[in-house]
Amino acid sequence: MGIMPSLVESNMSFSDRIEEYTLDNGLKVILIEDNRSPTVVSSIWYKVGSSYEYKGISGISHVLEHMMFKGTKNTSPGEFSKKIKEVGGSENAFTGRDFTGYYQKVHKDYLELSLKLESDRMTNLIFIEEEFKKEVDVVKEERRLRTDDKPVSKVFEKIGLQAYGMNGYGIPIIGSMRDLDNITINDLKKWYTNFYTPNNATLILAGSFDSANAKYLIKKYYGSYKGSKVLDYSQADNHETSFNPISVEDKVSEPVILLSFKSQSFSLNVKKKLYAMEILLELMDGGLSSRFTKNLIDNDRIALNTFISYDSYSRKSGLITLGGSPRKGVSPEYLKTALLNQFSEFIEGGLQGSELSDTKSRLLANKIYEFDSVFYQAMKVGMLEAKNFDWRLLDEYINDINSITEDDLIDAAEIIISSDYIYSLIEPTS
Amino acid sequence: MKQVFHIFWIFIALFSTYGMSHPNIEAVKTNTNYLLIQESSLPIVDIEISINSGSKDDGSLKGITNYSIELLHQQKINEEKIIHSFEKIGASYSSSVNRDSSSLSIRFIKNSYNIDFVSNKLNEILKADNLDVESLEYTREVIINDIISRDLSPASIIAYKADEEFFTGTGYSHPVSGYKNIIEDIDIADIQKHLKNIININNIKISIVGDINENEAASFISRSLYNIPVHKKNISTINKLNYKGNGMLNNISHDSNQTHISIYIPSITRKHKNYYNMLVANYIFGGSGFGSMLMQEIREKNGLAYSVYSYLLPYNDIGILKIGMQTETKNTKKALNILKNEINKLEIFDISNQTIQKAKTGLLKSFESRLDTNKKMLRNLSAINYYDMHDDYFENYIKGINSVTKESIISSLKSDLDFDKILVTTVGNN
Repeated sequence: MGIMPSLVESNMSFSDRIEEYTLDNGLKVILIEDNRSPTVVSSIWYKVGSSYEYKGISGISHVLEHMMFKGTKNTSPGEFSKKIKEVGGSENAFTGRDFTGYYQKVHKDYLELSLKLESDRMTNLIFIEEEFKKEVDVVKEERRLRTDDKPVSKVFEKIGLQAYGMNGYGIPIIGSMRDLDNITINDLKKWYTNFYTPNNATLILAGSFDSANAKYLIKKYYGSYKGSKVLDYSQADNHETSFNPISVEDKVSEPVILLSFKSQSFSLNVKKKLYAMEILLELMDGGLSSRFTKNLIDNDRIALNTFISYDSYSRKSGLITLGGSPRKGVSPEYLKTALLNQFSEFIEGGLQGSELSDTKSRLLANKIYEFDSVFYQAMKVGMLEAKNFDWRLLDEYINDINSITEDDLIDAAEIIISSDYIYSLIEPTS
Repeated sequence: MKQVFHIFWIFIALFSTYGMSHPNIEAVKTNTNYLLIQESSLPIVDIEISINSGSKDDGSLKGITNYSIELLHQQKINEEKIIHSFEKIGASYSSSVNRDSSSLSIRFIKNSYNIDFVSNKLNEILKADNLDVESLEYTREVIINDIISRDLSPASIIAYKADEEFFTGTGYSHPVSGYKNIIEDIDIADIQKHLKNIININNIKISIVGDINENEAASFISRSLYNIPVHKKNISTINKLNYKGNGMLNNISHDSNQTHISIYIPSITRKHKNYYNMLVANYIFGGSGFGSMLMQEIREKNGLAYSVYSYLLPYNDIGILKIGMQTETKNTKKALNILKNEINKLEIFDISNQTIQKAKTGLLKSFESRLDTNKKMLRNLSAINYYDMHDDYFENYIKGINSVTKESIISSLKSDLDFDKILVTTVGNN
């Protein structure tokens, strides 16, 4: 379809405005200039998250993230947040499977304050027993809120454990309640000392700043720290995946089914294959005009909703999960078969009409929309860098997905059809 | 020719007030119902069409506004749903209904084809001549399912039960999605009649942000509203709060790991002369995250919750200061006592001038970062448009905050928060 001339011809890239370098101590610095507003997002990404943990201390990366707000040799508990708030800034932190990140969004005039505070807690964190106990309580409340009282989240946790055990992406980011009770201050100190070192971090500034001044400040506040060897504490236990179905009753209004397939980790060697999977899944469930909605909701009227969860940029082997809820009078089993049939039918019939170009148009438009937020730009680059993937993948993405052919998509569909999966069913509590 | 968008050397046309930059708001062709912020650094256009009717205008068919708005984008033109045609050009559409108003939002890549295409489709949406019976039935099932789900999660139970109690006898008391028995009986004729009533030119405001000039915006608006009827403006019945509770505690039993707590204190509307006093008071009390009174006592000192907050909820006719948190059930009493103490402290407001000044500075200095993306600008512009505050909005905001003093807050807390009519709702085990 020739209806989006400027969209398909446009090219917005990170490389036009990214500058990257590494300090002598190993700290990687990425500067993303975007002067649309006088604000700057300063973020630091440590290469540590739940996939670096092991049974007994699950959730430790996340607990440490909380403790990073509880004082240093130079600041009292909570002072970091107060200082950022006083200059009209906002700040937060996040822990993932592969990274722990911290950011402040401030007016460009306060970049120095942000760098000063953030660099301070890279090496000067103090661990106060009383603060630690309270913060573990807070994390346990977070677990109750986000997992224990959420039926689908609980099942996702079970699926991860069944697929990978307490290894890699099987480890829940929030940690098990038992491990949260058992983690000690010494465990935290060990974790902090090992992973919070300049050579295990990437500092990303995105937004409005004077480049020369920013470099000067970064050197001033981070340059004197020494890098150190980062040890791998993960403990692979040769877990064997069980593909036994999971069936639970919980507080849901209608049955929810999930089909979880093991997926490959990302590398340049398999990039095309993983992008083909991503396009296939986008084509199946990326929007309201995708196949799942058109076929299963609109035409066949057997699904109330559908969803797919997948991340191409996986540092370790992960999961592709397809799911949904059947409409009234339709059995979960029937919906399961129908979901899988969408892939079989794709293998038999291939692409229809303009669905591939429509899907690519949607992805390209979304890529342009992402440039509206400097925070989002920092997130996109940071998430790749923290997994040791190159941010240039973002700029190459459109060319890469444009090279995906119908045959590549059919190969991806074959993987879904021929792979084992964990089938989970959540039924309303009787 | 390939277009390359270099964000970093194109600036938003920013105006400055008291040293703070803000975008320029234009009334399109002097019509103050149609506001525009031109922002050409990205090839994106964001539009919000606001309809001055929300769930409070449902009448006896509670939930009909939400149901009707959900059907608009599912209309079929030449056998294709409008939402599907939006996705083909990478446009992102959403709609929402709240108690006072409804809105349709769309974001698309700027080019002349898309401007014409989107405006024509929005016109079809607003004319509502192609409502589809299949979509009606599907949407009914989705809404009923949401209504059933509402009773399964403590967060949703507390939201709607507290509203039912607090707003009894007003259009604000029922949930936006309505009730199952009513939704089951709504037919296509009801929907058509309701839409004809609420969609008329005098009931619509349009806000636009992005790479579009005034002439293009005028043409876009004129196409979108072509042949839309011109009725008398819908004047909603003024809702007067009937709630007579006196520190009432409403316990709702629900099997969950945490008890959710919600507190409503009657307050003022957005256009009230004392609004800025309340804004600063709330910032100090629980509206600014870490360091706020609530966060300090509940989370930082006692580790009782992951999240605790307060915010001003200004409806057209009634305002509320809303407080919320969740904690493990065994800690409910302790949490309630702390909340009670903090509310008492708010009432007395023995807060230092320094803290008040810091709050004012924080609010003013965060001003620019609340306008640093097109999405955020649109959100603000829509609110400005909705409340008819386009004349010198930014100047008035800054003046309003600057004029707040400890005395003005104390006076405002006495006259504008009805501490005698607090409603406390809890949802959880026992």
